[in-house]
Amino acid sequence: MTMTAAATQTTERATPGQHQVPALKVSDLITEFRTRGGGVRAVDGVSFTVAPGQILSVIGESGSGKSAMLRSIIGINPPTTLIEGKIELRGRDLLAMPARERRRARGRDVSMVFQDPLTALDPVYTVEKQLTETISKHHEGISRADARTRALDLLELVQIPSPAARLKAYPSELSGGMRQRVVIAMAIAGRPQVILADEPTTALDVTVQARMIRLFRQIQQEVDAGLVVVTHDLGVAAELADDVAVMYAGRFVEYGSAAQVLTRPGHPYTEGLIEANVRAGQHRRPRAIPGAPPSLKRLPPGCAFAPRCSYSVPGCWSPPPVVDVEHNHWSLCLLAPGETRVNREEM
Amino acid sequence: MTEIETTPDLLDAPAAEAARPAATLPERPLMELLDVSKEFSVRSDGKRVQLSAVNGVSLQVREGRTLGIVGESGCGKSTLARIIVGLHQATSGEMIFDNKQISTTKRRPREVVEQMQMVFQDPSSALNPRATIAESVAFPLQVQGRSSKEIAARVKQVIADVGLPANYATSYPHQLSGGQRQRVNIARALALQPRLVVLDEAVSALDKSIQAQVLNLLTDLQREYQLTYVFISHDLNVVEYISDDVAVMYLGQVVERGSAASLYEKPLHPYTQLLLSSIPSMDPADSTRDQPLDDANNKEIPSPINPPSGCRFRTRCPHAMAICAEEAPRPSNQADDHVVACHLYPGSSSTSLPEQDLRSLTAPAL
Ligand SMILES: Nc1ncnc2c1ncn2[C@@H]1O[C@H](COP(=O)(O)OP(=O)(O)O)[C@@H](O)[C@H]1O
Ligand SMILES: Nc1ncnc2c1ncn2[C@@H]1O[C@H](COP(=O)(O)OP(=O)(O)O)[C@@H](O)[C@H]1O
Ligand SMILES: [Mg+2]
Ligand SMILES: [Mg+2]
Repeated sequence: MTMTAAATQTTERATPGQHQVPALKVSDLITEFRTRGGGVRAVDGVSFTVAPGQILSVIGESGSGKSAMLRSIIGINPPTTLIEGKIELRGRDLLAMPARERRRARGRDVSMVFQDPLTALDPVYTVEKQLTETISKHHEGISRADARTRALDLLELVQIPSPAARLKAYPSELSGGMRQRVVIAMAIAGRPQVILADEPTTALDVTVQARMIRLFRQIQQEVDAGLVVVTHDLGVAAELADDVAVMYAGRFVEYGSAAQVLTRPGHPYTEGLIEANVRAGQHRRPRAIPGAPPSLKRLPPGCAFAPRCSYSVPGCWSPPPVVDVEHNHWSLCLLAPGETRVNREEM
Repeated sequence: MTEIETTPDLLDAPAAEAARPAATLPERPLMELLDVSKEFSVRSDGKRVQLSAVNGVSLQVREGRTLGIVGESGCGKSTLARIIVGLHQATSGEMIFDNKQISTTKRRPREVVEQMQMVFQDPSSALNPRATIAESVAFPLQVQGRSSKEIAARVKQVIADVGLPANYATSYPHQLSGGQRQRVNIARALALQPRLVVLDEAVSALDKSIQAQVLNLLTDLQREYQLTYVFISHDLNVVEYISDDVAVMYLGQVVERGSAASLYEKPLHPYTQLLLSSIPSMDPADSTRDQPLDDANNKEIPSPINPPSGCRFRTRCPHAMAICAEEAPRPSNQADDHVVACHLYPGSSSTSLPEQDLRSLTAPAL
C-alpha cells in the first residue's frame, strides 16, 4: 500500500477532546473517481478527527478535493467511486458495515449543508412539512403535534423571526439567508453526531454570513456535534473554526488551530493562499500563487506543490515529511521549521 | 446629445454648498449620474406592481479612477451597472459623460456605446462556446462596423494586453480556465477602447489566487490606458483595495459615498457600519464571532416593491427615530466630500431649514 506520511497524522495526536470518543474519525481516506480517462484520485490519504462540539474548517483552491472528501463521508459520490480507508462514527467504521446498516448509520448520524440552500429544500412542500418529516424520521412514533413543537423550537434555535408564520411558508417565499437557516435547522433536526457543510456561506451576503458564523458556533455548543466546514474564505475559516486543515491535490498539507495556520503558516501553499487574499486596509498588490493546481491524473512525484513553490529545493521531488511546527500544528513540507516525524513510507 | 458647460443646478443645493469646502473636486468627473431611477413592472399576488430597483441615484466617477459600489444583493447594483452602459433604459434621470449630456431613458448613439463597456460575473456564460477567443473579442468591433484589417490588429493587441498568449486566439472557451476566460471577457470589453469599464462582480467567482491575478491585471490596464472603472462587488475588502471612491447602496438608493479611505475609516451611515462590521476577519483581534447577534442583523431586507416610507433602512436601523419614517433623509456633505443620507447627521433633515428653502430643495449629488 502506498501511504505517505500525510496519512498518519492526527490519528496519533493528542488533540483537545480526544479523551472522549471522537464524533468523526477519518483514517487514510482515499476517493478515486472512475472516468473514461482513468482514475481520478480526488482524496489521497486524508486522516483527521473531530471531537463533539469541535469545528474543523477545510480550505484550499477549487479542485483540491474538499467536496469529494465530504461526499465520501456522507456517501453521495457516484456508485462507481472507489473509497478506501476508515470513516468511524462513534467508533464504528462505516466502510466495514453491510450496506443497509451503513445507510442507516449515515442517515442517523451525519447531515450535510450545501452551498445552495435550494438543493436541500423541496419547492412544493412547506417548511413545516419538510422539518416535521425529518424529525419523524429520527424520532420513531413521535406525534404530529410534538413534531410541530420541535420544528418550532428548531426555527427558534436558528433565530428565524416569527417562526410560527415561517412554518407555513414555501422555500420560494424565503430570502436566501432565511432558507439557509431552515436548511441548518433541518441538518440539526435529527441531532446528528456530525454535520458537514460545503461552502455554506458563500452565496450569502456578508451581513447574513456574519450571523451564520455566530449561529453555527452557538448551535455547535447546544447540539454538541462535530462540524466539518469547507470554505474558500479564510476570514470565515478564522472566525468559525477551532482547527483548520489546508488541502492541496487530495491531501492535507497543513493542520493546526485556526490562529496557528492562518497567522503562522507552516506550509508555502498556505502562505500563498494568505498572500493572495485581499485583507481589510490592504494597500500592497495581492500576490497570486504562480501556476495552477496539478492534474490529479498526473501528479508530480514528491510534493505536489513543488512545481509552484518559490522555496522548492531538489529534496522536494521526494515524498515530503510531516513536520511538527508547534503543538497540534503540522506541515507536510520538507522546509517547514520544526521537528520531522518518522516518514511512514520508509517502514 | 447636448453639449453643456456647467453641471446642472441640482448640484448646487444649499446643504452641500454650506458643508463643502470652497474648492470642489480636484479632478473632473468623467461620468456623472443625476437622479437616476429604474422601476420594473412585475407581478405580485397576481397584480402588476412597480418594483423600485434604483431610486434617485446621483454619482460621479472621476477620470482614471475607480468608483466601487457595495451593498447587499438585490440593492440595485447590477441594474445601475446596466443603466450606465446602456443595457437598461432608466425610468428617469440623466447622465453626463465627458461633459456631454446623455439620456439614460433612450437608446444610445453608437459613439457613446463604444465609450462604456461592461464585464460580467460569470466568465463562462458570457462567452459563446462555439466561437474562438479571437471571434468573441472581434464581435463588438464587427457590430460597430470596423474594417477587418483594424479588427485583426485590435484583437491581437487586446489579447496581448490581458496577458494571454497569442496562440489562444484560436482556442475555444472550454479549453481555458476560469481565470483565462475572465481575461477574454476583459479583452472583449477593451476591444473598442472604452474610457469607462463597468465591472459587475467580475472577480467574485474566481479562486482567490486567480482573483489576485485579475485584480493586478485590472490595475495595470487602468494605469496604462487611463481607464475609469465602476467596480461592483459584494467583497468589501476587494472594493476597499481597488477603489478610490466608494458608494454604498441600500434598496436602490445611495446612502453614503466618499473616498475609500474615509468611508472605510469612518463609516457614517448605520448601514455602512453594519456592513463593515460584518466582514469576517483573519485577524483574531477583529473577530466578530463572539459578538452578540444584534437585532438589526436579524431583520429582513424589505421588498423593493413596497419600500419603507422615509428612510428605507429604518426598519433595520438601531438608531431609527420618528422622523425616519416621515421623511427621506437628504444627502449631506459631512467632510471633504464624504456624503451621507441619514437623519443622524446635520443637513439631512429638512426641518432644520427655513420654510421657503424647503420648496426649492433638490438633493445634491451623492
Ligand atoms: N464525479 C466525479 N467524477 C470525476 N471527477 C470528479 C468527480 N467529482 C469531482 N471530480 C474531480 O475531483 C477533483 C476534486 O474535486 P472537488 O472535490 O469538487 O474539489 P473542491 O471541492 O476542493 O473544489 C477535481 O479534479 C474534480 O474535477
Ligand atoms: N429584469 C428585471 N425584472 C424585474 N425585476 C428586476 C429585474 N432585474 C432586477 N430586478 C429586481 O431589481 C432589484 C435590484 O436587482 P439587482 O440590480 O440585480 O441587484 P444587485 O445587483 O445589487 O443584487 C431586485 O429586487 C431585483 O429582483
Ligand atoms: Mg467544492
Ligand atoms: Mg448583481
